[in-house]
Amino acid sequence: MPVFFGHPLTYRTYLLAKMYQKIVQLKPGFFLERMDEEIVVYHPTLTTSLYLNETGALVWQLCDGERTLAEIIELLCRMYPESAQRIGPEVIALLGSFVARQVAELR
Amino acid sequence: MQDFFVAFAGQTVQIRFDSRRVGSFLTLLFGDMQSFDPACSPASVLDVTVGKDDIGRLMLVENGEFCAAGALGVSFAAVVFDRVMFHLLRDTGGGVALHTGAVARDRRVLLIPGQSGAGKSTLTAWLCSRGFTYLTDELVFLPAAEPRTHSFTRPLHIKPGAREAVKAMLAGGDVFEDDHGMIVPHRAINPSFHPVESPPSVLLFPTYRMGASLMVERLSPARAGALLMACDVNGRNLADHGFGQLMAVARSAPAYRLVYGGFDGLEVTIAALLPASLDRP
Repeated sequence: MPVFFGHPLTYRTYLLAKMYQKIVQLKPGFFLERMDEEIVVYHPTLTTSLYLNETGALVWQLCDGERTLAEIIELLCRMYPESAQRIGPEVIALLGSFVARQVAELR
Repeated sequence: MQDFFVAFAGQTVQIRFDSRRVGSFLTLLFGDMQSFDPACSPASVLDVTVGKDDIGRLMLVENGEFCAAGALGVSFAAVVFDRVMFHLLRDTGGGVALHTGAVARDRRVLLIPGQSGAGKSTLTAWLCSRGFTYLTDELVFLPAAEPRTHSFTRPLHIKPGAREAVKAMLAGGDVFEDDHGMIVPHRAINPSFHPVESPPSVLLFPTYRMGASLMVERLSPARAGALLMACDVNGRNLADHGFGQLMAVARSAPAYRLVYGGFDGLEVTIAALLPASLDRP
């Protein structure tokens, strides 16, 4: 079975694969509080709060409005080669949750 | 018409009423928050009057506009609670209003934040039956300028599903009940009442699930902070929606998630969570 960043290439991941060259853009205007290695994000317009663990906080920081989804995944795979198999699916799921909660968009 | 003033978080709501029956009802609902300050300037004026129909339904009018009608019962009480809280908080800045229960022991405050249906009132009632001082089952105001907890000390509003469990906790006194639930004066559970305004010492986020095994989990400050933001009631009145203040609360007080489906084992579990000075009887 073909794979995409360690994730079996289902129709859903195929659609995601088509988007992996897109840039991840966070919605501006959020408040952010770092607590140890975790962060809380609150968007006052959306009245949405988000808890991000250490991994989520790292992904959030990498969403700088310039990196593509693929670049974020590649960067994390280089930083954590021992976890490369699961980084792709995890980042896609995490960014999917950002998009679903409207705190980020792919452009 | 007679007047009843309810004060909370620096605001006052005036309720005008026209019958002794309604006056007793308002005393039941807001007796612990009644203001007698003749110089207060009410944020809103509500009228609760007996209607002219055959069944004597009550009419609730807000600032001259019709709001609701209903029999003197738990549902109408819920509407009055809701509208009074709305008017008290409508323009309230200077601090965060949180959707949370609260109890105290040894002058330290345990907050029980959560959305409707999370089990706040039942857990609050149970803690009071175990000697904690009741503060609220619904709302607190945390002023930004000082470390203080200002509680909306209404009677407990118990939904029908928790009625029998809470009845078993009653120490005496009358409750107000019908098919829609119960309004329980907190002194009917714990007659000892000494209001406490200390800042929060512990955060306990409850989830009631019928039949669930008791489960407790320590939350990181970040998780607690995100959960507190979901309980923020008056964020729209604050420049940062209370974010900075609630993050400070999340950093300063240990936080736990509690899943419960009954009270077996709860006493030992809660005692283990509390700082020693909060756990003295």
